[in-house]
This record gives sequence, structure tokens and C-alpha cells, in this order.
Amino acid sequence: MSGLPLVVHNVSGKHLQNLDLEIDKITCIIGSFEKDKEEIVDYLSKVIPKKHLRIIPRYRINIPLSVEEVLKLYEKNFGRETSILTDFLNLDKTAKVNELSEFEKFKLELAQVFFGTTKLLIVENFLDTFEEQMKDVAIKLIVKVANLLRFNTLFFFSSMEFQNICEKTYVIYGGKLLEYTSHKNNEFYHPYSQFLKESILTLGKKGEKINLEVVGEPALRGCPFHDYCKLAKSDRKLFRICVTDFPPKVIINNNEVYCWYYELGMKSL
Amino acid sequence: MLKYECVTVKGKLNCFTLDITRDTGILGQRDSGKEEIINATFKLTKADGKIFLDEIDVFEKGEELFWTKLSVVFYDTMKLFNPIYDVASHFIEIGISHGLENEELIIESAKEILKILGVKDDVLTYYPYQLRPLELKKVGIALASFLEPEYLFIDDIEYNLSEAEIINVVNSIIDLKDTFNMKLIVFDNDPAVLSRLVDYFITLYKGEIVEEGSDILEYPLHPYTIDLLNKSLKGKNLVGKGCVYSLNCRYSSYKCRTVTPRLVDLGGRKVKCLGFPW
Repeated sequence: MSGLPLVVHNVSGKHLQNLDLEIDKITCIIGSFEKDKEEIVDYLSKVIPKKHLRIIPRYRINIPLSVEEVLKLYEKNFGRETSILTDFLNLDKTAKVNELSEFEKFKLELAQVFFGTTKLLIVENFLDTFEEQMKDVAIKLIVKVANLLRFNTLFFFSSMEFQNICEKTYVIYGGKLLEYTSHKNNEFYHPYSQFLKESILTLGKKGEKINLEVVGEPALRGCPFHDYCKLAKSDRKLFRICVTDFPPKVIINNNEVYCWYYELGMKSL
Repeated sequence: MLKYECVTVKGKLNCFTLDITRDTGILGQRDSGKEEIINATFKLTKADGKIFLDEIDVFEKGEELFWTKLSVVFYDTMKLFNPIYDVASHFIEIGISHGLENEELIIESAKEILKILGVKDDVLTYYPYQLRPLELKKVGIALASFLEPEYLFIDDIEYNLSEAEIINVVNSIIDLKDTFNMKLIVFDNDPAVLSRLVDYFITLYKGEIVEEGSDILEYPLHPYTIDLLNKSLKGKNLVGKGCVYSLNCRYSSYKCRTVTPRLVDLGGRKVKCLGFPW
């Protein structure tokens, strides 16, 4: 049961509109972590029974308890611990939580999946508050545990850096789905997806800037990305429709893309 | 010149010694002791040793130097703000307490800096908690650089920001540097951030300098710097008795675990590793 895909329809909120989600194995929602993403987490927290849901929050746990005391709380909330936990995560049960390194704290948060029956792990966008060097290790550990215990995982990422681990990818901005793919093809077509792909800070020289559009608040009408979209800005006719109407779905190489540029281009207007 | 003479914070920073004359980056993880360097400089923690700014003892006359000579943006930018005051009040408070009397002039100056950093000036009417993380970070940088300090300390730029926002902040700091003649001391665990803001680098591991130089990101010599750049660190940072990194180092020998290496000067590059004994 725990390995089956989880389907939710019409996830809506103040900042989110009619989102259909299918969470299967490793599923990712990519886009800046704003109110719309928080509403997805809130919605799933309401519809999925607490005993089956685990969440790794954006900020690390910091409480004056020992690791053992936290594990006992997990047992109280979720059920008995599976025997492999201690060996797998190598946790020092006598240590105080607030004296642990950031990575050890993360492992303690991940430990909750070993208690009771986990069906869905939501991983909030913790990478924004995590050390650069340990991001890969943390992601690999989550994927390893998810495969081992066979539960579904929903990652929230604010960049495309780790998109290659995702079975399904939803690119969401301003509460609207802009692109979806169920392929690990690493190809994205919506200008917002491309902006996220370009948002990678690399080694450079002192004083050398990275040429990247500044993206702020999403637009409330039309395509939420139109204010920052290079494609829309390059064509007045295109921009006009991007401002007024939300684009229809276009299929490009198996990706579902919501963008007027491709819609109009395909119709050869 | 900002001079650190064997600054020690018990158990966290071990005899930190450095002369800072240019834009400098401290590369290290959260437990490297970099936060203790900031806390010691700004008298937020008890530290031994000495810090001098152009012969002035920072431990003795620190308060006179803060904001005007030495200023800081903490990794948690909220630490700079009082949540019950709006953003404008912070600029006015700091301006007036440092001899500026004209509130209008203070606000105009604040607007100028915010403009350089790419922030709309209506943030001045907001309370700090109302700002988005990117705005908060930039307003913090504006506040810290408002009195044009000689040295601006910036801790963990990337904390709580997305990749696109980090790029945005780095670009804004480069713009700010074009306008203000201040030296940056950037503390970060992301070498890409440091590479674009500074041209001299220190690698810090568990409170000890293990390597320093101007090209350590291109040609790292110390095994810890190499592991840090390759993102191949172990989950737990252990402290060895000889070399501080000996328990996690892939090249570690018995000698490394028993003999403490010196910081060896290799023609401008300094490395603390027994693999470089000359």
C-alpha cells in the first residue's frame, strides 16, 4: 500500500488554483517557496492521515532534548521503530539535539520515517537553509531511505539543481502549474523553468556578475511570469495575450507546458 | 589594516591569526568557527587574544568602531533589526546615534543605497517581518553599509535564499562595491559566492586555519579544501589530535594523527598539512 501513487485533485487555496497532483515515488515541485507551496503542504497535511505523513521542515530542529527523547516522541506519535534505524542513520542517542551538527539534526528529522508506517514524506525546501557541501549527501540519503522503505516523497526545490532525481516534476509559480513532466529528460520549455535552470551560481572572478533576470512577485492575471519573461517581452502581440489570459496546455516532447509562445508558434500565427 | 592576533574562543576558535588588507573570504562550514570570528570582533562572545584596526584595540574601543568602521550582516539578518520598529526607523536611529542630525537626509541616503541594491524604497515603511527573505537580506546589507564602514562582514549570504536570489544578492553587492570604498570580509560555505566577491581566501576547519591564499579555489592543496570544493565531506566533522582534519582525511597517516602541522608558506600560499613539510 505504501508504494502506491497518491493522487489529489483540485488542491486550492488563497494563493493556489486547482492543482492536480500525482505523487509517485520521487515527485518534485519546483519554484520559489512562497505561500502557494506552503498551501500545498497545508492541504496534504489535512487530507493525509497523520500516522502516514512525515514532514522534513525548512528549518532544522533545535530543542533542548536528547536524541533518545526525540525518538521516543516519534514512537509515541507514529508507532514502533523498525529495527534498522540506529544502524542505518548512525545516530548518537545520548547527544543533545541543540548540540548536534546541522547534518546530524537533519538525520534525526529523517529518522521519523522509520517509525510506524510512512506513506508520504514531504521534504520542504530545506536546501535554502542547508550547507552547500552537504546538500547532495542529504538528498541521496532521503532517496536511499525512500527506496528502502518504499514510501512516496514530495520534494520542494527552488532550483533545478536536483531535478534529475524526480520521477515527476511540477514547475509552479504564482500558484499556477506552468510545466509538468513525468520523464527524467532534463529538458524544460517554459521560460520560468528555463530561468530556474539558468539560476546556478558557478565559480567566477571577483566582481564578475551573473546575467540573470530579477524575478519578484508573480502577476495576478494572465501568465504569472509575464513581467519577467524574455519571450513575452520580445514580442508586443505575445506580451499582450500573456498579460490578459492564462495560457492553454501545449505538449512538447512529452512535457505539458502552459505558455502562449508555444501555443501561438504551433498554430503558426 | 584589520589584524587578528591569536583570537581564541574556547572550544570553537583556535588562535585565529590573520592580517586583513583586502577583500577576504572565509570558507568553512557552519561549525568551522567563522561565526565566532564575527562574534569576537563585535564583542558578542568572550574571546582571548587581540584584534586591532589600524592600531586601535577593537576589544577596548569596539563600540566606537561599530557601524562606522566595522559593520556586519549576520546570517540571520533579522538579528540586525528590532521587530517593533519599521525599516526607516532603523536607518534614522543609527544615523542620529552616529552624529547625523537631518532625518530627511538620512532617509534620502537610505533610498540611494537601496536603489543600488535593487530594492524599492517603499520597504522603508515596512516592518522587518513583513519583508521577503531577499528584501530582508538586501535591507540588512543597506543598513550595515549605510555609514560607509571600512570593513563589512557578511555571514552566509545564501542562508534562507534560493539559488536565483543568491545570484541577485551577489550581483547587488558587486554594484555596492563599485560605489563604496569598503573591504568585504565574507564568511560562506559556498566557494562560488566567495569567488565573485573577494580575491583572498581562508579555509577554516573546526576553528583552525588550514589553508590560505589567493588561488585556493582553483588549486586547492589541503585535503579539507579539496573535499569541500568537491562536496565529498563526511557527515560528521571530527577533530583529530595531531592535524585537526586527520580523522576525516583520506590521506591521513599515523603521523597526521599524532603530530600537529605548522602553517607552511609555499610562496604566498599557506597550508597546514604534513603532506607539505618543506
